[in-house]
Amino acid sequence: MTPADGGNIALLLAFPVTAYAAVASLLGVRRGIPALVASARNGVVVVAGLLTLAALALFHALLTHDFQLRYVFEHSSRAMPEAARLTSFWGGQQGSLLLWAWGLSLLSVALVWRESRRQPLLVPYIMAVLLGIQLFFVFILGFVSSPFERLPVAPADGRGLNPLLMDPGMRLHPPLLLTGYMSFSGPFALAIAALATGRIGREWLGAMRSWLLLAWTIQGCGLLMGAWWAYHVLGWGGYWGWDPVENVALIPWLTATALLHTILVQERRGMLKTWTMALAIATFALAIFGTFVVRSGVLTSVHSFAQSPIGPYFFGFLGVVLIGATALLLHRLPQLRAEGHVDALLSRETGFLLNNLLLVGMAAAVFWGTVFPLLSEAVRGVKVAVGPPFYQQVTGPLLVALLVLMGVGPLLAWRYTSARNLLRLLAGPLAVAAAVGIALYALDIERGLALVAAAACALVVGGVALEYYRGVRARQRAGQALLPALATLVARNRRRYGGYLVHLAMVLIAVGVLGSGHQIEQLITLGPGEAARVGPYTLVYDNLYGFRQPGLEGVLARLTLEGPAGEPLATLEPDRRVYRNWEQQPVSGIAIHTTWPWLDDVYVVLTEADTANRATFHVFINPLVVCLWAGGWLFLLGTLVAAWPEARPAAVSVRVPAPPRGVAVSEV
Amino acid sequence: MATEVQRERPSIPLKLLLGGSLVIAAIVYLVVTSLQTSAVYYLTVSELLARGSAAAGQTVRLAGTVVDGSIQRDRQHLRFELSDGTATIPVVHTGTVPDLFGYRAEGAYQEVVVEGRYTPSGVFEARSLIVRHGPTFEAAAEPSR
Repeated sequence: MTPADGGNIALLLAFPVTAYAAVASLLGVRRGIPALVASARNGVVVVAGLLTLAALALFHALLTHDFQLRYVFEHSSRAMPEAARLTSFWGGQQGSLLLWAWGLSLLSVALVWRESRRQPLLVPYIMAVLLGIQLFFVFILGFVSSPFERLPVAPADGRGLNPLLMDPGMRLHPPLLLTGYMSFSGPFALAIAALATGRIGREWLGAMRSWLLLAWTIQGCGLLMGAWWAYHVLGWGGYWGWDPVENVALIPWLTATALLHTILVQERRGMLKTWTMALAIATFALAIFGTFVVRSGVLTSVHSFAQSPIGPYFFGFLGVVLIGATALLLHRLPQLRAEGHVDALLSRETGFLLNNLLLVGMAAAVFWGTVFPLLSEAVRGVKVAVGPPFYQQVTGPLLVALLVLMGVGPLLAWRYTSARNLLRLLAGPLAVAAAVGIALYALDIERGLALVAAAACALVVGGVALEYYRGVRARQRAGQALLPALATLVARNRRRYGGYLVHLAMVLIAVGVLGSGHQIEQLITLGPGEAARVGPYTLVYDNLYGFRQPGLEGVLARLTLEGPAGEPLATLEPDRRVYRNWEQQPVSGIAIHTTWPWLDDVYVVLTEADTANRATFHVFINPLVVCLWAGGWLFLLGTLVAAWPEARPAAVSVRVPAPPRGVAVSEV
Repeated sequence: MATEVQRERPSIPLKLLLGGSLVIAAIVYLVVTSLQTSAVYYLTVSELLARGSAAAGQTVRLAGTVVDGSIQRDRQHLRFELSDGTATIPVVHTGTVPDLFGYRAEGAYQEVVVEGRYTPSGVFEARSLIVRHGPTFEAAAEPSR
């Protein structure tokens, strides 16, 4: 028996074990048999063990070139380096789904272990939901689309992975998105368990928040990695193409962002309970939809990775999830009545409501644009295409509104804020925003919506700076030095100040998006020694050089990048490479140099070279795109700060002076 | 009794509900108008030619395969003929040409989608060019020996 056989057996065994544990947990809690619940808990661990074995077996098969497995044959080859062969694990449908299921089994162990202490009464239901989801995936993997399917004869070599997927960015981006999609199972299981038991307390809200934050962070990083990969590998000078596969990953992240904010309202004011549940359910359904779209090719898309017979199963599963969860929600509606009210129009609550409307509205708009071609074809018989202009027109104004809200919202007090106090607080941030807006207008850099967006960015930065300043000053008055004051401020209110860091990260990302709107694009053909001017920069072409690496060979062009004053800035070496087995599909190696201090990305693609060493380059100047990646790191930092467990209250407390009436005291 | 009190005072006041409805209406309006201005017809070559001069000037997306040997490049333009098996149309494209374009593989990689305008002269002026990855992103060709 080969390890692959062992993996296959483990995968097939996972089905009955999952089914048993799901039934046992439900039966145990409904009939009051603790032994059954305990047995189900063991089942969760056994499933995780079995799926880990299956995953290890697939890794082993990829590393040892077990080409008898169809999956290994189709997604790897002898010429591929070891690290790239591990990437092949999620290069196709079966491996991706195995990664999903494996991740879910580990998440289930962690969730059950953690919540057994915090809210033991919910755990049997949480288990039942997670195992129910798992049952669907192990069924697909075991009986419909198995990674361990065998070929009649073992071929000598495999086909290898598509060269576009060979980039290191590919090692992280797909597993992050798949893990993100998968992780939304946690909040969903918590929501269903709460609906089934009617127990929605503080503990539940805390658990909801942590597991949601985890999924949201992973998905957010996956989206950013995807943008990074597109930018550094695909060579069209952009990072986000509003492709259906990208859209379906963004949509659940947007609804999850809304959910993160409503949890705060529910925690503080006991409101929006039904809405919170609905968002948790919708987010999970959208995550399943996303997994399905990526792995089924139902939407016409440049990267509909694979077409396969799993479609109907996914639709069936989605239907069960939506109908079941909605029925449960309706059944529980009377118990989800709000405890609080919105007392005033100018209040933190209103801010959060508007935030939710905008985020869910944006998610709905992107969803509509993504499925509209399908609906149009099905209903009217007319094929249409919805491209980037639609998404830009729709999301632009909504994003600007969100930015403005991000600037104003944190300064609003719960329950009631007087307009005068709000204006007093906003004076500083508004002045910053106005200054930035006027400067950009005077320098003729931005006009129209982009100008408003840039000013709104400044508003957010001003607001966050003000919040930090007020917090630090209160502690300084109590006798603390600047840095310790800042440290304790953040340590005591990780959620709030971590959240502000995430807001700043969104501003950085917005700045990157705004900057890339000023892209310069040029196609230039040069002979050796010739130079061309692109924007303020000059490119001097030296010559072509051949190179060879294991599994690929190529040709690179050497250019010198010169600044506006003719000073040399960098040597750029864009190349074209051909991977073995993929001779018909040469891939560009893109050269990118970020200039200082203007943060322009000089982005050079070698598109053609002839025998006389004349080369054609596609050159882009992308201003400020580097802000996107900086924003990504800040996003990660902010979520880490926010997710870190709160420090225990210290023995010595600092007196915070009472704020004037009607001013934000936001202990978010 | 508690429910009576709650009914008298909804948790979200009327003014806010009205404001929210306005926001939703604005978003719907935005979606509908943007869709009208930016959704484009997705046609085959024969469908486009069947529309004739009525299609001139309209932005459409066109799917088809590149006719073998029809590709011509110069500094700024890419010219080729696009076919859907029954009809053929000349295409001139300015702008980004994707990596995958024009490499004669077995079938799948020659399928392209262009977006642009049909001009009265009978030439399709493309603004964007996408190479369609057949049904799979996986190996389309047999492994070379």
